[in-house]
Amino acid sequence: MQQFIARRLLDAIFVVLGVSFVVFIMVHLSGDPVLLMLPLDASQQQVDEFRHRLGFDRPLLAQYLRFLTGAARGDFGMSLRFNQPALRLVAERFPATAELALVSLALAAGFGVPAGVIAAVGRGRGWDVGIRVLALVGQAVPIFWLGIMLILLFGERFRILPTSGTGTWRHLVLPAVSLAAYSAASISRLQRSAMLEVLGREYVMTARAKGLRNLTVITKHALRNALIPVVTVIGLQMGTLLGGAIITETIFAWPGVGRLSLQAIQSRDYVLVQASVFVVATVFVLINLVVDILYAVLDPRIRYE
Amino acid sequence: MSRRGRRRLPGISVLLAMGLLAIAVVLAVAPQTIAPLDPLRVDVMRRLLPPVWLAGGSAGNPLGTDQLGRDILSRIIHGARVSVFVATAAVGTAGLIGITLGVASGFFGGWVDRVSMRVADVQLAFPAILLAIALVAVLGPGFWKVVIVLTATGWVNFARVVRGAALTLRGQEFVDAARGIGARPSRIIMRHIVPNLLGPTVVVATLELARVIIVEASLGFLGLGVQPPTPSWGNMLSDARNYVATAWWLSTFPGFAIALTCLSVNLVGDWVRDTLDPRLRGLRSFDL
Repeated sequence: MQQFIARRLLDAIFVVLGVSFVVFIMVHLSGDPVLLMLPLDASQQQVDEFRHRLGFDRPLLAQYLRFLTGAARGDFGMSLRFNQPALRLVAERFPATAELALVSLALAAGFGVPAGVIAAVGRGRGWDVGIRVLALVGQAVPIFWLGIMLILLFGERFRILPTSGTGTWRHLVLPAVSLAAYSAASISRLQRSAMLEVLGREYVMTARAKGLRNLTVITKHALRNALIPVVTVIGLQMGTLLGGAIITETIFAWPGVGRLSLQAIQSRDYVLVQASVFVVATVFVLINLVVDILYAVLDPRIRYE
Repeated sequence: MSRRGRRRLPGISVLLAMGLLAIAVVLAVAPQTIAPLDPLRVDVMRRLLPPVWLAGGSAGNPLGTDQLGRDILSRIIHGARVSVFVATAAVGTAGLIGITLGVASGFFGGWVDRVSMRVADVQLAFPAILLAIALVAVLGPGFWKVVIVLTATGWVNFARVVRGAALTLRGQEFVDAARGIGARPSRIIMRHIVPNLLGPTVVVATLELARVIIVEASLGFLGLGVQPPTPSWGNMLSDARNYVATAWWLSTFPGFAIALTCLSVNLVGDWVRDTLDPRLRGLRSFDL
């Protein structure tokens, strides 16, 4: 087990190193990062000064090493727009994003898992068809459009829920629902097929033959086994949710990292873009690491793959 | 009915979905012959007209007009062009790159495998949409840049699935047999490996199509996609945000177009997967 954790940890460190390189090289992709960051009407003197101040006049490798040592210490430089340490800005906004993503994850799992089970148990009946149609729609509707439609309905037409900002739990409803929909749909589809697979197994038939109550068979014998693949996917959904948060936060003016990074992109504040992209990706790597380890604890077979 | 013996004929919903996709393709290829009006024609006297069935609507603009008096229906028809072309171009190139790297990694192993899978690991550490947004922000918006970015974020899904399939195929007896009679690696790959990869590749391609359509629309919505005045479903929704309270039709219809298209792709994709290879059921949707 320790060996397994050590190996996964090493993998994760390598991936984070890779992430740092991608984040670093990103601003160089346009050719000249300085022209990317400064307004179009900046004078040549301003350009040169800026280039020197941010160290863009040094060799690329030296720049990367500086970026890397800075990142290791949590120093991504000063945000060009706010003139504050970029990491601090990201850290300030992170709790809001975490709140939104976690509530959405809970919603997605809380709806997706039971829906998948109900659909599988009542296979071919009205429930099943209804849930499958909903899931298909949920996977086809883009987050931002769902968000706009929810605003249209609950914010404008019925005026029962706030459509922007933060504060009470009511502010959380619309963003969390629009963010959760896609994941809930994915989870329910996976749960349904995992459940169908398990319901056909011999041990489920044995349990039924013993005369156990249907509910006992479903929850104790079938669901417990059908949950294993779903748990991994729930962990992976965090990536979808963190990505989707960018859009959800923008629509609902939710003060999180997603909105911050989009604003940073729009104001050409690439120092802040680098910091936020790096933080989001690193958090995602950590989540995956934890999910992997938890999974190995739950299912010992995984350790010996 | 045993679970393996799934029906091979498409059901009514799949047929409908295929029909819708065919329509989308036709719209994309020849929007100007189908659209009733010029999607760019501004008419300030006819701003924000509601759809024809509401009071104040006009038969000349069945789905209403936008804030500049442009015809929504015509803009949606022309918008299909961006969605369909971006999606096919991006999925096509991502597929080519992913299959090539996947076959090379799975069949030969070695450093190609190690390098490409490490790159894939790093790339999967980013939520795909975040990476796409950041890259477009650096490269700049526009049709081809969007295609490049979506290719860059999409090849991984092909590469990983194809690599897995190639690894399994490499150990099969018919491959050993081909090697035994002296076939060169290039022949083994082209004659024995690649044809057998068709199933998983097609399945990944349909999943990718739906993903790419949504991400492209999201980029357009954020103002990072194909730039106005060229209409795309995403940038139409971006304009519509300011009129949510006053003109619901601006934001409703383009979204329907995106959702219907993705729904159709997913329905057809599920059917293709079940028909080609029920074992691929584990392949679900990809992370956006």
